[in-house]
Amino acid sequence: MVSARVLQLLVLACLAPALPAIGTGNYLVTAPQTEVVEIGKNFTATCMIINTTEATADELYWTLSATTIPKEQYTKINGSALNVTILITGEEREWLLCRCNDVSTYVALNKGKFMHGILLTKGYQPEKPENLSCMAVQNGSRISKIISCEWEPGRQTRDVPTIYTLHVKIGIALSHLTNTTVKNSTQVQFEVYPHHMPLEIWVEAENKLGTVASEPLHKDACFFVKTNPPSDVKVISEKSFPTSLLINWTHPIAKEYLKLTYEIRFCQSGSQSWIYVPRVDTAKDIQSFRLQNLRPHTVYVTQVRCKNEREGQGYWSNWSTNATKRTPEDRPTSKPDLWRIIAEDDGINKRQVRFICKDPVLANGRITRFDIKIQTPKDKVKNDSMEWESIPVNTSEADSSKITTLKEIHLADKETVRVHVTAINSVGKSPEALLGIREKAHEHGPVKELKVWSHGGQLWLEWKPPNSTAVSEYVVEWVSGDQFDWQRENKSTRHTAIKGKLDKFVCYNLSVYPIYSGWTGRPASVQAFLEQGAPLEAPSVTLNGKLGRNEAELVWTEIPQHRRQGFITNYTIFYTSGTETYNVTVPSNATSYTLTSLSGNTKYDTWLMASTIGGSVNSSNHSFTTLKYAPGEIEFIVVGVSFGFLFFVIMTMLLCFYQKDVLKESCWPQIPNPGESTIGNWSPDYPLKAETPKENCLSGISVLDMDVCDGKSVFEEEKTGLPLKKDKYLSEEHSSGIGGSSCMSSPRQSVSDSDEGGDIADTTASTVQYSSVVASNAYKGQNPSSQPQQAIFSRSESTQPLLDSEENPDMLVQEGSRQSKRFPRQSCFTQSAGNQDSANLADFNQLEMEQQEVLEPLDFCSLEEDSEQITPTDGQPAPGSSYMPQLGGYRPQ
Amino acid sequence: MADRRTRGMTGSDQSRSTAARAAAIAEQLHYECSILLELYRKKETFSPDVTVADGRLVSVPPPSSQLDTRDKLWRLHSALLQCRSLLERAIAKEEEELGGQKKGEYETQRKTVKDRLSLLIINTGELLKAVDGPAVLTPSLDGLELDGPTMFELKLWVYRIFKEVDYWTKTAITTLQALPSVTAKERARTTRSVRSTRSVRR
Repeated sequence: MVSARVLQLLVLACLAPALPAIGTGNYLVTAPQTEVVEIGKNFTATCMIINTTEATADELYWTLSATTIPKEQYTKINGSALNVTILITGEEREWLLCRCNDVSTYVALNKGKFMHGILLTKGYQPEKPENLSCMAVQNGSRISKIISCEWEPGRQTRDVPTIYTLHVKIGIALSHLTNTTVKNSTQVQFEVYPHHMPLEIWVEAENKLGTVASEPLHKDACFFVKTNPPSDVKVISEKSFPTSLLINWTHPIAKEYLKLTYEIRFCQSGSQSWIYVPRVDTAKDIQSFRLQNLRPHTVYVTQVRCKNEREGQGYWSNWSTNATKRTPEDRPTSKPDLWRIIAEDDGINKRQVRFICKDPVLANGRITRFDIKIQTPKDKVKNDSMEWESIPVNTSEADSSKITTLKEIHLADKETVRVHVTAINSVGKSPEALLGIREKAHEHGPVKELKVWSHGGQLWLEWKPPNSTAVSEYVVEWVSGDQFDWQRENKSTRHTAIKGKLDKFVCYNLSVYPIYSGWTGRPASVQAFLEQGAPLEAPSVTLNGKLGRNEAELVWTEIPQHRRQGFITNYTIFYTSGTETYNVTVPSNATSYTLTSLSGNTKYDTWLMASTIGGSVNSSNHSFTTLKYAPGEIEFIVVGVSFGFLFFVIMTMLLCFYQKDVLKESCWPQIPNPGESTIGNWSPDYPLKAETPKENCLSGISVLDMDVCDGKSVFEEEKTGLPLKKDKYLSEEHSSGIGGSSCMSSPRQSVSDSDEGGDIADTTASTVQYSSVVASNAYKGQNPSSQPQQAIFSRSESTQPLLDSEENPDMLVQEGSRQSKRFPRQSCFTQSAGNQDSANLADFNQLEMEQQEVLEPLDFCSLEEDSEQITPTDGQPAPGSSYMPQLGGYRPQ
Repeated sequence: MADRRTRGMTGSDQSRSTAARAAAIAEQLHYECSILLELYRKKETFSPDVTVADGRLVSVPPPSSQLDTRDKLWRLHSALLQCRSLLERAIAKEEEELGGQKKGEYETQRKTVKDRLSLLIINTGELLKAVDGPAVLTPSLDGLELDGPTMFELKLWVYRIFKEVDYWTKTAITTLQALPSVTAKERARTTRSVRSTRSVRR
């Protein structure tokens, strides 16, 4: 587009200097220089070479919008003229240029002079305007002077626009009005609107390619008139005509101008279904009309419009504004719709009957009250003309769907009742409605094969009549919660749709009652939904009872009826441990399910999906974790372990029992009872009474222990006994070989020590002590009179150190007696002494322990005493010091 | 265009006779005249008892039952022509004497009456032509001109002209509605002319 314009400008720029030179400087000339070419037609142009011999027609060529036209479209006229014929396409303007090939240097240098062109402005032949229509509207009290016309224009291009001229001729050459436009509508103005005058109206379409006129309209001027709608439309209600309304209106225009015909339509208020009054009734030039056969006490909306009364002339005016009026009241002309609700009474064999009523369909006014008469067989017999009871109705508007409760009675199952009801409005009362209720046991049978389905937004019922042929009509009743309604069907009805407004997703109990001349029969009932949807909620799943290791019992409650929105088809239980989701479908009546094959000690999420045919909804998740052990498993393990342990214990005990000797020997090796030793007995000189000194000997040990610090004095005092001791040592050198080997003291060393006189006392004591172990067997032989030389070498298994007194029983007795006298303050060991009387084996062992405990602290002191004792005991070991070497020798243990 | 014109005259509306159409226009004119008179009385505050002098401004032969349709039409057409001349003179005089007032309802109605009268005259002229009536010359109104009238005289003169138009409109209605035979004659004439045309072609 831009390039084309640039090219055009360029060409124009090139042509501008060339144009004045045409005939002198420009060597090419094109023809025809037409203004407009018609699209879709062939166009032929000629290019001529003038004033030069530099080129011939053979060197000429044509371009159209910078595109060279093929030579097939050329026609050579002569040596200097070339024709081209092209088909005009497209709507944009184009340049058709004649050029010359560069056949010589001159031509090449003077390209501007060897070029000429034609601007092709394209357009269509004007098309005949179609569908010409004109209208003159009312302005004030007369028709406007202006008549407006419009038509469908033909195609045209931007460069070749079409101009339209509207022609209006009045009568025969009376006047001719025109108006011109480029649009598809215009208007002309008369001096005065020429009512009744013939008009001739046409449109001429004209452009540079031609002129064409539309089909003319030859019409009376009134043909084009559109008046205002009738004004002051009033509707009059006359009390004496309850089924009629009178409509009055005013002509919108004087009949001298236009005689009008009218059209009336009306409808009940709130309805959009207009009823049109037949035109034949309103064709005359009327200003009022009476609507008849209307319903009394009903609001009607009325509208009127008008047009030229001449058929086919003029336009309908707009409809007048709504004129609304209510028809007067009339006596109710149909029975009230009487029905009942029966509920089981609290009493036995009684029914609670509530009589309800709807206004008559043809209430014809506001029902102000109902009159009711309840008649039992007794009453009928007694008095046929019972009193009527009035039930006033306190509503301001008549509403045929409104239900009025008339009366409530208690009726025994074996009682029969007849109820008569009339409806009364301000004008009169309705025909009487009758309803009878039989004994419960004698009610007629119900309809058969009752079916229900939803179709087209309605619930449809179908049934087959009961066996009895006396059915006079049927009552179809539907109940849902608080919603209760019914409708009547005639006796030939086999299927019907519920006419009341039903809600979607609500469960209705539908019942069909056969009526036998006013007596109700037993109903057939069925439940149905107008439309089912997904439940509003799904029941929450909970665990029931104890959770198992591999199973869990899930329970849920039924969805409340008003939340179901449909019949529950099934429940689907979903459960997942995180990796895979399992589902189980259970029937709609189930309220629990036990999941099995669960993994132990695993967390499960579970939820329930409640489904209807309208959809499904999931409940919230419920999580549980299965047990690690099944119930009883732990108890089983514990019991098992317990039994095992018990078995083990028993077996052990049995083993111990049967192997007690072996065990005893293994665990408690038999230690010979020194008391039972035969060594003492064996010695021929050993008196049995020597046991007492043994105990004294123990007390003598106590003395020694305590007299650690006073050892020196002891040594000094005992110096007198040295010779005896010396002998003893000598005699015991032999025995030390036995005792020393078992008590780490070398007899040899002992001997040498004593020889050297340094530590002789200790060494000797220790050495002699082991000898005294042997003497331990000779405890019983301890008595002051016994001689050391008489000691019998008997190897003892005991490693217990022997007391020095055992080695020197005589000395021990002496020393013991002296020590008792000298150190009475050392009675801290009198405990030991006190126990001497009750000495036995246990005491003896205890004593050993005590000795060790006591002696160990004494070790500390004994080191000091060792050095002290060495000097005074040179060559003469004191009897009292015989314990010290024992201590010294004992320490390494 | 000639073809269109011919077609125009032979269209569906041609079934409606020119006389009936003229009568309808006369009724319209009468209605509009009555409105004009009312507006004028209201404008000039003329009470209903204000009357104009007897005698006609329009001079035509007296009515007679002896007159044939053509004469009746001629008389009516002549009277309407005189009415239009008088109306134009009155409008001119009013505008001259009273100045170019702003166009109100009265002025609009006055023009409407004049234009409607012209339409009626066209139709009566056609009817006259249809019955081969003689041409009607435009009447001279020189003798009817007021000579230096007072304002009262002028207003009464205008009022009298309106009344004259009203009178001749009513006359036109009566005359035209009593011309059913004209239509028949017109048809007969048209038929004759067509036949003669065909015979000439032959």
